[in-house]
Amino acid sequence: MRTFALGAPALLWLLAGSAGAAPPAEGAPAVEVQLGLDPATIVGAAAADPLAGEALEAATRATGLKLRCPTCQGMSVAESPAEGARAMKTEVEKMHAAGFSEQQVLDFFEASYGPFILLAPRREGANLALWIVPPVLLAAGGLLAMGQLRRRRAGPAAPPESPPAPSDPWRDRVRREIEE
Amino acid sequence: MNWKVLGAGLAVVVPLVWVLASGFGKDPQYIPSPLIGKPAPDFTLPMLDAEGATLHLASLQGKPTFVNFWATWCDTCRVEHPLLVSLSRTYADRVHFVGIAYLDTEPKLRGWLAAHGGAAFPTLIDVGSTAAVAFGVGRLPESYVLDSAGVIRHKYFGVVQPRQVIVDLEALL
Repeated sequence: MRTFALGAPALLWLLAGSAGAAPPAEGAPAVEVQLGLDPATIVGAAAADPLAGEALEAATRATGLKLRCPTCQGMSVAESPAEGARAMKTEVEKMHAAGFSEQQVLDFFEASYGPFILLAPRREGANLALWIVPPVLLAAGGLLAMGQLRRRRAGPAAPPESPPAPSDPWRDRVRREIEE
Repeated sequence: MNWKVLGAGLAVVVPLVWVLASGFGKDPQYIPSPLIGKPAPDFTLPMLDAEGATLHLASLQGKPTFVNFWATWCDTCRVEHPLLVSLSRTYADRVHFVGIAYLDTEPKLRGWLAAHGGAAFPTLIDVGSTAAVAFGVGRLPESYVLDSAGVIRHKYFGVVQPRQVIVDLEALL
């Protein structure tokens, strides 16, 4: 089992979470906690530098913005106030504090939740359609609109010459009989 | 009839209707688990009312294990509880049943269990929600069936259907 050293406020908040306690005050001493699951068994050894302080906060938010809150409607983990999202945010923070890169954190969550958890689907396989089709449709719509605008600017089209009225044998016959 | 307009309309409408129709039969909240067929995340979690005792999930190997994530704030867990109690009694000697309390507190868990007929199987406290995150738990209740080797074989989203659980457990016994 792996041991992580965490920033004191985040860690104590994590430990106190199950008892419903409020987050502790800043400046508490750093402590260590044993986690139940070692992320390295899933995403390999930590590939980045361990983060702390503002850098840790920024990385946690940046990664959290890329993860979907599973209990919300289209919200990221970073933005969601849901308890479940908060637990995920804590996990993100722990991993960054232990030196896991953003990609490793995303891979860790994807291994548990599947690609659903990524707010931006990976650009591979059938997902490519999600990235290619909208701009293609937008471009096609734009070209169509431009074509219509050009036609309108060119002025109204000349009315087609009216063809000579076809002779109507019945009308001709009636006319002849009246004239007679 | 303007065939060009009709063709363009059908090209847009038919795929759209197909996408919508194929989604009608699915639960939009269901998240398929990528963990099916993989070893379950391993945990040592504290047990409720066990005076500091912990339970190591891997120690349950040798028999199939039914893992249920639940919470006192989960309304549908109230409906599910008697079903799980009944199933756990049916399979008392053949299947391990374990509850994992997610985002909850021990006093609330004690009160809830006392008000709902007591616990028929151990409840573990998911400190820091690490177990729930590792299992990919979204909305509660969620349950998983692990085979004798600790590999996840089934995931149940929402209140379990006892018939389905029985079929799945029997196949593992």
